[in-house]
Amino acid sequence: MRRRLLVVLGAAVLGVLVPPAHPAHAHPLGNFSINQYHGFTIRPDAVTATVVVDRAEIPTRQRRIIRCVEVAAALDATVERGRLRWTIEAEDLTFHPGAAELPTSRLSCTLRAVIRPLGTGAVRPFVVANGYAAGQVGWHEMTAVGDGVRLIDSPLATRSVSDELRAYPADPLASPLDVRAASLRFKTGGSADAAAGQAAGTNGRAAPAGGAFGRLIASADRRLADLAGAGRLTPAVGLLAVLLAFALGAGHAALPGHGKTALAAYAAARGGRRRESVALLATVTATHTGGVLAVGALLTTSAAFAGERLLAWLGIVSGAVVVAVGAGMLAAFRRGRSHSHGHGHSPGHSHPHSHSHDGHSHDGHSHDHDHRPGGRLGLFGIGLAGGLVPSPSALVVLLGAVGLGRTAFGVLLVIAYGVGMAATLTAAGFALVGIQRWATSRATHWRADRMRRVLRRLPSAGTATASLVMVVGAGLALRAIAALS
Amino acid sequence: MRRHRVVRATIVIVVAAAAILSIGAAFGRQSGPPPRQVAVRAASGPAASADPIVRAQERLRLVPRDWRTWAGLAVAYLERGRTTADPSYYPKADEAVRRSLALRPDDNADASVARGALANARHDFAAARRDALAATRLNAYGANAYAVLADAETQLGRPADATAAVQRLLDLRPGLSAYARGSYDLEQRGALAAATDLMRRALDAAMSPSDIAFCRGQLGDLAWLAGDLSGAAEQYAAGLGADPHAVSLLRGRARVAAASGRLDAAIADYADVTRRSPTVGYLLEYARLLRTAGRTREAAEQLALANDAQRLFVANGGVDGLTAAELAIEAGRPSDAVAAARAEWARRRHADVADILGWALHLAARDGEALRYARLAGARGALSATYAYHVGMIELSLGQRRAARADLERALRRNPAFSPIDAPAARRALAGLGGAR
Amino acid sequence: MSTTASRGRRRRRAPAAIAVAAALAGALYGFAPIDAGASSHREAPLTAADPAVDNTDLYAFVSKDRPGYVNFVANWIPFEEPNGGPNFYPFATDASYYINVDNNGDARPDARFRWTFRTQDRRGTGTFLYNNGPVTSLDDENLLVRQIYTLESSFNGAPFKTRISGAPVAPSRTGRASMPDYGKLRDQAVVQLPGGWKIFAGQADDPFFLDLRVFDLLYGGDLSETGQDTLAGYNVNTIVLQVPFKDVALGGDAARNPVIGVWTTTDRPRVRITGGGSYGGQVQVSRLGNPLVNEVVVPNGLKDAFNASSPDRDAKNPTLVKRVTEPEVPKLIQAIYGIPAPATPRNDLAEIFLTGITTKAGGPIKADVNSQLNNADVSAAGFVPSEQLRLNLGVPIAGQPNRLGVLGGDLQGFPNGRRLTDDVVDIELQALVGAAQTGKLIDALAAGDKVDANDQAFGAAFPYVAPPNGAGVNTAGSGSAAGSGAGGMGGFGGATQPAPSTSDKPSAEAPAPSLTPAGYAGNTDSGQVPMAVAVSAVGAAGVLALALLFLIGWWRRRSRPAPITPGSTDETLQL
Repeated sequence: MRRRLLVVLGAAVLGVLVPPAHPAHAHPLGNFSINQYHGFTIRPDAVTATVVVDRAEIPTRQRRIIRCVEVAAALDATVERGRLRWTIEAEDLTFHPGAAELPTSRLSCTLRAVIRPLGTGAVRPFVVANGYAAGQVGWHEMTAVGDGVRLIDSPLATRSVSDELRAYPADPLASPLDVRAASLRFKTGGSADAAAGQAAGTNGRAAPAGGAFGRLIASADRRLADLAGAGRLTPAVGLLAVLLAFALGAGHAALPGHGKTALAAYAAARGGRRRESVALLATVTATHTGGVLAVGALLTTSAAFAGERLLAWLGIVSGAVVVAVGAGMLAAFRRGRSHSHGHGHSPGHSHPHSHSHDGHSHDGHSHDHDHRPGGRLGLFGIGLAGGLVPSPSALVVLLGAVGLGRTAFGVLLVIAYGVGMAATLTAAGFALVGIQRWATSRATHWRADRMRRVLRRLPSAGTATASLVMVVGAGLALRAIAALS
Repeated sequence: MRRHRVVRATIVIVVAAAAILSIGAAFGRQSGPPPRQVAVRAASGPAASADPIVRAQERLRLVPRDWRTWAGLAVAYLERGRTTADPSYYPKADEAVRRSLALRPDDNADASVARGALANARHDFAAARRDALAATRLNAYGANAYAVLADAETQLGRPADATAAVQRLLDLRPGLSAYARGSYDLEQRGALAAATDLMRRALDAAMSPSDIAFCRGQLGDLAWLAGDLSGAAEQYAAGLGADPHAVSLLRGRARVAAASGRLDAAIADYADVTRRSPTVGYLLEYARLLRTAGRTREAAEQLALANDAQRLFVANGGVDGLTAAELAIEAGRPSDAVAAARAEWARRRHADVADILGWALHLAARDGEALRYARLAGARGALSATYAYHVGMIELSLGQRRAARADLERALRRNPAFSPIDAPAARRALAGLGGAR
Repeated sequence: MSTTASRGRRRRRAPAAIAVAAALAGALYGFAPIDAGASSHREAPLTAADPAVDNTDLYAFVSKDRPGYVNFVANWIPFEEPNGGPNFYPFATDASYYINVDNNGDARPDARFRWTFRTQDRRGTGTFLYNNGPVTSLDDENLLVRQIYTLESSFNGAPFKTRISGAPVAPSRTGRASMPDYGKLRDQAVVQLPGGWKIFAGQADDPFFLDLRVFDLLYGGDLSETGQDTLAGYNVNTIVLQVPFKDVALGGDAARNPVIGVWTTTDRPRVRITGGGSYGGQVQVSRLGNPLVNEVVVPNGLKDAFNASSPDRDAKNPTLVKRVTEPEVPKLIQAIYGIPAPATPRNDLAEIFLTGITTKAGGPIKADVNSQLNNADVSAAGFVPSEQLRLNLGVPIAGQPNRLGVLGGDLQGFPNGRRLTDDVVDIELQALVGAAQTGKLIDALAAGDKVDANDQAFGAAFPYVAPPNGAGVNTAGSGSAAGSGAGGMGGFGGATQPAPSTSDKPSAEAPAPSLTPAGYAGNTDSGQVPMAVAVSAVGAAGVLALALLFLIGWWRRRSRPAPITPGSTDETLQL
């Protein structure tokens, strides 16, 4: 049934996009329409607008020449309170044969306005109203994408449905577009996700600020969003999407943030055992998936929720949890020290089951896993913190899939994403443990030996780890608070 | 031992990965439901409204085979096209009718009505009449079919059938749609007071701003017909308050301004009207107004524009002999005007066509024939000052001075300012006849 | 079997035909343009609907808060957008609204109640707004446009007698800022009349609930994608009337003659344009008894005739009778679900819709529920079958109303009258596939349209309907919070004496409680919500589970006496 409907829809779409056969050149929107497209690209330091004015025969006959100056003058846009001053970077007026030997015309303008760049994280409002040929009938379309900025709560599409006034869709269930004004916010320094949920299935041209790795991740992001929203899902595409989601999750976790340092330090502190790693992995995945689903649901059901603020709050919570876990470790460590005498172990003493021969062997530890700093609680806490802040790109994928009626597929992708994230985070922990062991195993090496001695002499190595965890948590929370204000 | 564990762990991981991947592939296999709407609505959808178009669209997304709602959507698009003067709604209406008929080719009165309404909008009144009659055969109680039928019969110049259709409409479904048509029917028969009364009733029943604007506009036109300029101005202003974009009200306001001697205001309004809705009719009126104001160069420009617009209309398959005749008259080509008006008369025998045909014949110096048509225009009793003026001028040309005097006086009595060009001409002619008594 | 298969093929062919038609249409795009050119002829509005006079729903029920009295609720103007700017939805001032009661079964009204409305517009020419400041009472100066009404009644053919004139209409709820205490305005619009009558007219939440997609059934679709109350969040204009049994029962004796039949009509004055325009008499433009009759029982071609007809002519209308006794929907259901359509003629449906459920008319349903034939003083000779909403006033009030009414074993519900909570869509679906004559519900349709209750809770006391929604239909999860006006303020003004606590009793006390708490479904957007609900449920469950785990871990830790052993600290120090 669904497939059939899809075919039907496909045929319908094909039908309406087929150019008119007869009579030659009649303007699809009537011969006195003035049709306008405004495509905005917002960058940290400038806004550019691609403007197209497609005029049917009669308006062209009424006034043959129109200029970009008029179009720019009627385009009232502000960033914060500052009105944008457009400069015309390109202008092109062409005429095309219409009906009754009367031409139609197409004016293309590239406008650019410089804005004052602000530091990373600044959230700025962008308000635009187009008053050109206001009283005249015609298609009015606006799109907006961010380039080096992230658009927040953008009501605008990211891609022109009319291919910039070249092919007007004639879906009988959609009224002609009439978008003449818009108001949105953008955040400097965001990655590619043009306002979570808005960009699904589109190829927004946003490019992230940041290094080559960030760019790579961003491009994978878009690929995934495209896949999730692909017109038809074949098994291969589905498989690819899941793999990509996994890779993306892994990649995203490798970007700054996510409390990886805290997680790794914590894992290291606990000796990085396999069972616990699996638990950690599961927690991060579950929290992240749950978080994305919950936030996604909130964003879908309520327009009142600003996704940005929600993420910031979650960031604060996440940071707070990390701090709490660190504090717990610290307390546990201190208490452990005070108890230690009764057990005949000194705090700085090496573990009875030495790792010196084999970095892989931890089998003997499984019996006492609840007695290490933080215990299970800490484990959950750190996992929770790692997964609590939903990754915007996972949100985009989910909301895009929901929008296309593929909720379950979206959820699956989010799970894969979470697994990928967790894998990176856990791997980071393992890596740290590996480094430790490498250091310990080189006991004969003088430097390592000395280092080991130095480290061993540090009575507060545990304290340091706990403190590190706390500092990282505080950092996370502060970052989130900064984004909120 | 250890190796065993590693192997086991590897197997677990591989199996889990395979499971997730195959689930993904499985999801890929069963393609999801078709996109109901653009995914953009996910985060912040615009509020749905009481807008009948939006409601019909939403219902059709839920119940896509509802051929009745497809027909309803077509009518809603037509209404929007009418109130906004935006022609891009018409192809959509057309498509919606096709969908309805594709779903239910027979016994589909709703689609017949919608198709008939579309034909009326295209000035294909004969086709509209056929569709409306077909609909009434399918559903003798369907009010909308009689509304479409009434419009078609009226334009085709079959007054008795038109009145019968309107009466049937009023008997089935008194309301805005019926009152407005009843009012027009009365107006054409010269019953201005009753027409005004009924249009007030329509105004009381109107709920949407565009309907209110329509009724106000008609009340303004009725006041204008009766020569009540201030009453007309009041109605137009009130209508524009309800719907500032109603072009026909702007045009009404401009006409009043011109009649009151405020030519600049009238020209400004007409410039606005022809920018918003550059139809041949409005362009022609604008050209005449500019000519009255002595701005002949601009007038010629607008006339040329009107000519091109008409060519475009014809090239796109439109048929409208009435406008063609008016254009030819304005351009000083009376024989072309006669030909165009005759062709239109062969299609439909509306009073307006008779009037223009008569006037074109007069300008072509065939006054004998002209008088017959010009008198036909007013035969049902329509109280148009222009009709009377045309009759009077033809009579004058034929040397029937007494009749001419009576008709010219009648024209000026009805509306002393009925046209910025013709009213002064009527006065001059009357003066030549020895002045009004 | 073969018929099912061929149907299936036909169903498959239909979309293909649409596709082809669509492609064709696309190819012909712009074929016959309408644009700049023609001198505009007179183009009058072509209103597809006339919502101010189209009756959408009728309810008739007895409420436990006032036994011995019967309530009628009738609605007009559906899809009113709450807070949609200065939207004001007036009752038509040129129409007469009727509730008609037939207690002797002759299909002619024995008691008639007539409402006529007037608009008081104090705006002048200065403003187009409906209020110029907060409105705190119905006679507030800031309320620039208001409606008042006259209620008249006529019994047994006697001339109409005015019961009250100048009664206030609760205004359209235009927003929190302009109407900070809507509950008070609503209370002021409740009027008590001599004889124990209570009346209310004004805006309310549309009490009807369904998933419009259920109608896809009528066009050959199945019910797989239903479950969303597509009317949630919209308001409606409502009239509520409460009168004692004795005023509507035959002979004033509800014990001997407990059954009444009810329908509403809307009339507009007749206009003649032949002979110069004159008026006289009335034209009936709308008629409604049982719910969904226009959609399900008398579809295509008959709806308009039905709206114009009177009940006493129903039995003489062979087309109408045939639509009832040989309905199309069971055949469609058979094609889709394989549930065999019961044999025709369907006398069980004739009982439900045309005679009332009785053993005295020889019908297949062996019960005496709600036919006027069961009234002691009704003679079978004078009985005329007709489409009415029939109610037996003597049925005891159900403690736990069943949404499936009579079919669910609850004799107080539809089709014995209609309560606000009755799920008439599901009931009628079941009835159409024969549940009333077999006494067995059809499992395959058990879920019906999967909307089982209204999005807002109904009131426990007069006027019962939920207050109008205050937030835009798609804007927020506002539902109940915005919807329920502040209750218990009970303003007392001039002629209007409000009923005790008219709004917002807890729904638990309601005689007809809503099955779900008011709220969540209020914010719907087509297609989005079921998924959103699913996602949010999964997400919330995930978060909840995690929180629980966390809590358990914390608790276990706390209860452990010596949580930290030195061994563990050792590990952190192994470097």
